[in-house]
Amino acid sequence: MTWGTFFVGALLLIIVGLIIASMVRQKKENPECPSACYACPMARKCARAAKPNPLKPQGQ
Amino acid sequence: MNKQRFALVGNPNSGKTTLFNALTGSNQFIGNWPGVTVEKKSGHLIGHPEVEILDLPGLYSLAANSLEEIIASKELTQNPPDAIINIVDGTNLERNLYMTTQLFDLGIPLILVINMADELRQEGISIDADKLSERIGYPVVAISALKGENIDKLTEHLLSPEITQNHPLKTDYGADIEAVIAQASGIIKPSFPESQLRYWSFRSLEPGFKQNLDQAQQLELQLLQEDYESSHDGDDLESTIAGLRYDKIDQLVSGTIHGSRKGELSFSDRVDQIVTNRWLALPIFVLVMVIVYGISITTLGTYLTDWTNEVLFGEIVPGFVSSLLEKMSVAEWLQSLILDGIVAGVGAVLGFVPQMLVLFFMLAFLEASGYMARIAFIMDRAFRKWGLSGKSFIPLLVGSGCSVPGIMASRTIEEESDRRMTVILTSFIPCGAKLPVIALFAGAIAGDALWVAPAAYFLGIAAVILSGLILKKTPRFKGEPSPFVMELPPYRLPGLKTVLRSTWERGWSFIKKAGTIILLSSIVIWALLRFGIENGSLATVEVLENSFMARLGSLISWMFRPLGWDSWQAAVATITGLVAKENVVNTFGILFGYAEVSESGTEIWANVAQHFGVLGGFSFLIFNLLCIPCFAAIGAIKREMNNAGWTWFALIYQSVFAYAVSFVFYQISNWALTQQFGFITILAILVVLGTIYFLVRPEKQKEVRNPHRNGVRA
Repeated sequence: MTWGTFFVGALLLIIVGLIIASMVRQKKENPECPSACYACPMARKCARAAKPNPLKPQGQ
Repeated sequence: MNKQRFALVGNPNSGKTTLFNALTGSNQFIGNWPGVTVEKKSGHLIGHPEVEILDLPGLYSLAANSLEEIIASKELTQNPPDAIINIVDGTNLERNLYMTTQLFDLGIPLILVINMADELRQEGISIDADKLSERIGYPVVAISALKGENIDKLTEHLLSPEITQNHPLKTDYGADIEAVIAQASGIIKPSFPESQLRYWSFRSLEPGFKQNLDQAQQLELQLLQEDYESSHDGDDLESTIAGLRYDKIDQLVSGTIHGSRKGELSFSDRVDQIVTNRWLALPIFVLVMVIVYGISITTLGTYLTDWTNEVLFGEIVPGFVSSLLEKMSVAEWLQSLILDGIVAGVGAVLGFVPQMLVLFFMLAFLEASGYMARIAFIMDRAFRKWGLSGKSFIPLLVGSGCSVPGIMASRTIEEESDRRMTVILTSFIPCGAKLPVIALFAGAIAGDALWVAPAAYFLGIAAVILSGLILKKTPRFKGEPSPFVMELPPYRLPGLKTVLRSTWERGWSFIKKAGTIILLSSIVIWALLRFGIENGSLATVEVLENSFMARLGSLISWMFRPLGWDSWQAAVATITGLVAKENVVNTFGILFGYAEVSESGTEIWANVAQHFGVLGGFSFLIFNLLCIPCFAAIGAIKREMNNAGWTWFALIYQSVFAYAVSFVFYQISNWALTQQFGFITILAILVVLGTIYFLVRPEKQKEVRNPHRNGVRA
């Protein structure tokens, strides 16, 4: 294995690892939403929808 | 100066966020669309870090019926600010002051900010702020948040020590109501702070109010309401209080408003006479969408995308990466992964960024101008004729960006069957992720014809209407549509900064998605294409048909033969599109750019055209636009349905509907163009006739839903 293969392969692995970690983190931060906010073009509007449904009884 | 905390409170679309940005120097999203601020945001007054300003969601009252009202009400009562900055829209003063009368009840010091002073001036109207201030006992400042008028005057007020010491106005609603409020105060006294008793007394008289109250207190309050209503000829207590609040507002503003536009139409009214006209509204809507989608996906969008596809991701990036990897002596398999997998796949998707940006810019412009709100109003009139509610159109509008929030937005529909139907129909509208697929086929098989992209959008609307009609004929969805009430914001020329910010936010999300989910998908697709079973053992395949990807596609490709496309490549692209719809383009980028078949983007798209043919290509596009959405949207459907049976029904319905439409399109078009007629053509005709019969057959029994069941609060 050349150093170039090792370097590029390791870099790619790190990038993939970081992407997966960030996706898992975002999913944990917003478990209500089935999507990942960082990739959603409507994230701001979705923030409203991801909250509990105010039209269903919430104990008030 | 001590630390101070101000809460910015106002009706939706009253300019709260614009004022928040002006006071704090923030960069929050602004839109001419009620409901832009959906969460509280915090900032500090420019040059005064000790002064915190809280931007609360827009709300019409403190009744805590909607999520925004719950957030604002909790913030104001559980963590009261030092003072409230109550921003009101000067062009709609009386309606905006309704909530102000509720804020009086809270007993928190307040400053009344009358926004849109510039618009009032244009209409020849002036408000005597000093006189109004004398009457309500609070400072009143007239400003234009958009133009920055009198922001310095407001800042002076915020920094003056008197701001947190002014005394709340004690509104008097007459002996009868005041007596009821006094009794209610006595009942709820043990459950709420003394300083907020008046506010909670009013709240406790709202139907269904239970917060902090035990059963005995709830019963006493119920009896109190019933006593009042029986002794006042059955007058509803809540309506009586609302009426008295408006009477109080009339008294407060009487003689403070000079000049009048009575009998004269505002600019928005004059535009609406044309734009929402009974006969012109729909043609104008069609024209606007043809222009928006036509310009962004073809004409201007194509001009920009040609460079990114053919030069940037066709020559520059692959050339640079290839030479770099060669110099570093990187192994062949890793070079292939990066060039044939990641660069080809991600590059194919990123190539469409310019088109996305043009589209997002135009949609942001329409949204900020106030036209988007009119579309819901226009479509309500049309939808109602077909048994659908305009309420269903709001999720569809949101869904044109992304199906996930669109599906979630359906929860604003109270009627369960209408809500379920909207969840099923929302993903028919092409979301942002489907636009690269539309753009790819518009370019590859239709020579960038102007009509393809608008046709895809209207195909989505037609699918919604047809499905709505079909579902409304079934017992589970039968009934009158829910009533729909919506406030139309005035037309405004959007600020360039606002539109550019919105465009960038959406565009950047698209780019981030390409760099994350699409990148991971590219690696998986590349691996499944490179490896497979060849000569009886697991190996790097020489022939693509032996790869795992080809075998997977071949397992299901036969199902699509009647639709005019039965290759494993098309089947695979459909499957990978379930992860994210951009993956359809990503997959073709890898498949047709694989093994150095192509040296530029143009060749890849030419290969796509050759692979599908015109009819097969359109059939594939129709199926992929209408079939089940990506996994994220499926998750949203599952969550909103909250029932496995309904979730499966939604997914099966979408798949069958997409299959039927593509099938009919391909078979009938093929018959018309090639004169080939056979058993399968007869089947397609039967599908059409069967659907028509199902829609027009007489109904045995008509069930009418009580239209008064769903109260709508404006």
